[in-house]
Amino acid sequence: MTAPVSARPRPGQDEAQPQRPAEPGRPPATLRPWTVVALWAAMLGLLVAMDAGFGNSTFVLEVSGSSAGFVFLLAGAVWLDRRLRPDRGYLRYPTRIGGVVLLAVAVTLAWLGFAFGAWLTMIAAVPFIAAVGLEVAAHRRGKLPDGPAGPRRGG
Amino acid sequence: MTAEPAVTAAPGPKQTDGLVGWLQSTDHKRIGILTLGTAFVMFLFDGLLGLAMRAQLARPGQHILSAQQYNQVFTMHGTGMIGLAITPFALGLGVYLIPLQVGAPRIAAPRLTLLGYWCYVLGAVTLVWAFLTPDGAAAGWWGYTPLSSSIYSPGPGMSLWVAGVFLAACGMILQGATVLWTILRLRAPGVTMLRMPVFAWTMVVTCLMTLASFPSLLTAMGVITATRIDPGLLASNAWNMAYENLFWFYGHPVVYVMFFPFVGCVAEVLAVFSGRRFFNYKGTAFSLLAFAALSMAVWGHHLFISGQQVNDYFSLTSILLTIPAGMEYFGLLGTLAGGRLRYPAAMLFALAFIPQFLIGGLSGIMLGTPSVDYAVNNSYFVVAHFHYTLFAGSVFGFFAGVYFWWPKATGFLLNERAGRLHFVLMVIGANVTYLPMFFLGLKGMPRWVVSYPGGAGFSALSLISSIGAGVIGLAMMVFLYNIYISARQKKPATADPWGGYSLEWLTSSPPPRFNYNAQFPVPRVRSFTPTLDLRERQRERQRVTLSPRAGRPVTDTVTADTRAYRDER
Repeated sequence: MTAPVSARPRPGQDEAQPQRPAEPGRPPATLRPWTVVALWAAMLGLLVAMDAGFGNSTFVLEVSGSSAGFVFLLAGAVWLDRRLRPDRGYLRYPTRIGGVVLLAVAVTLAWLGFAFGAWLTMIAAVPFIAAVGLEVAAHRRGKLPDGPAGPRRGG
Repeated sequence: MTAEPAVTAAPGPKQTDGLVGWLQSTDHKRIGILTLGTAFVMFLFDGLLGLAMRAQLARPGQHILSAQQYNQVFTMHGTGMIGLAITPFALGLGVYLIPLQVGAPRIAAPRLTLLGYWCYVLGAVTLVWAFLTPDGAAAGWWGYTPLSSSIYSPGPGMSLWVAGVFLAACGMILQGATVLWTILRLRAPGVTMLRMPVFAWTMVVTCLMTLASFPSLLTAMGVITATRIDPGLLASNAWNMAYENLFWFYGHPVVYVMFFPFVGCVAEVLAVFSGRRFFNYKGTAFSLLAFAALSMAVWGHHLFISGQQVNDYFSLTSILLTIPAGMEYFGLLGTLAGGRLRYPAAMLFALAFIPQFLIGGLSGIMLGTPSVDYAVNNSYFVVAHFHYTLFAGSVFGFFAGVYFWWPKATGFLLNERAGRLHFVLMVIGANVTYLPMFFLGLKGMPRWVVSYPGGAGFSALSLISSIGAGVIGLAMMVFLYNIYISARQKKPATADPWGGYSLEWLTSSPPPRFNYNAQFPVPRVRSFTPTLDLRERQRERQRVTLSPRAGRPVTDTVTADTRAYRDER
């Protein structure tokens, strides 16, 4: 039959992903996530090369080329994450979000300083420091799992 | 099979209700609903500004708005609709739906998602402030330099605009990143890339485009910042062109960020209500990747008339877009062909999306041809084109998604009769408003004008267009009324009120805290339509069971099948 969620591997067990038995001579087709990202980056790279062939300006090529490069890096990050952390268990994370909100406020104040004067940007240091403090405290205090117990496998 | 003890949810953070509970929640469903709700408020606000513009232009020589106010209004309308309404609609849908669709209990980095929401909200507040302040931002949604520099746009309005755009873009980048990482790394066992729903594929390309193009907007805001701090700093035509390139490197891809997720909504809705699996699934997935890549390489067509671009290249890429777009239309229409169609409001919106977006797309091909673009650039033809793509296309796709997933998110159904009235008014309003604009553009009416002379030949078509805008306003009131009466009636929705195909329809409405649990587990996923697969297998079992050749007591077998069905889930 099938493998219900309850039959997912526990820690220490074989964590092979349940797969339908492959038909003889026909391995199941897979498309890795990093391949998707890399494929897209390659498409962008191809378009940049085409653009260069048309003789567009260096600035235009730099903008589009750096974007393609960034996506290549992203594909590498996905690949690396998969290699280094194949089992994506549910991460524990702090439940208090005060630091998150204050960080957003600090960034806003910093930008508003640009409209109303540098003094506001300096004031932004206060919520920023508070945000960092709250984050450190939150990480030290209580972390609760955000998901069912037991490991999972993704990617 | 033997029943094994189900995985139980660990005691997670306790969810508190009320506004404070919602605002501090790291549950992706709440963040998604907050993002969508805030975006809808901004959509209504910016829509009112659109109505103000249409009121001003209804007759020649009106003085409802001054020239400065008109500039402020169209600046806020454009910035708000794109940065604060439709882009957040697109990413908010992803935040809400993606973990459900890939069988994940949560979104990747929920606190970053929440930070994204807060950056977006603070950006929205700053932008509204930029609009309301005396001498508010009035340099258009593109904020070209040197118009946006402190010489030509003095006062805090433009500076606030820069801050607001920066913050809102940061918020969208953060949300896009977490949605993408959820798809790439948190899929449930069995949910391979080619077993994800079409909507999830559209979100893959949307988030990739967000990550690849939005940083360019942040850099562009840095350029404006420099020109506002010291107008002489980047005062050269080269820098003006650099700004335009940076801006449109974001400005065109964002159109597709505001398009792909709604194609995903339409694809899901069409498949479910035509009773067929999505046609050409793999072809559509790959065409989405190609479409997204090409749409990162067409921005230069906004600068055809500048004479500073290689028009051949950008014209070629703009026209090449028709190939993947055609494949997607092929998929949509192929899904409909031979289906047993049902017509709830969601399906009506999805069906209207197809021809209306096509009008926007075909006029886009015209504009991708430099010779045509030279003739109609900065005219109402362009306004008609992008409103057909964004309003008559994307917003219709959005409402298809709203009517489709509303029961899942809230646990109650929207009123169908009011939904159909909403649809009819929207179709009339959209076409009456935007179709005349094509003709206005061809007659030579320029954009960004506060008024026009009576004898210019624009009066009748402008009046018709303004009447249409009023009908759209009425349609929105009907939608709000629909929400009101539906919330009062609270007609309960089952877990799967439409006979959906993707995973989210297997969990309760609304879903539990971690989306799936012992009562609503993630089944084994064998295709991109897992819920339909389960239903078909159950139907098959019942058919075998009810067959006289089964040779077993029917009731016992039905019980066994029901158990097997439950176990399988």
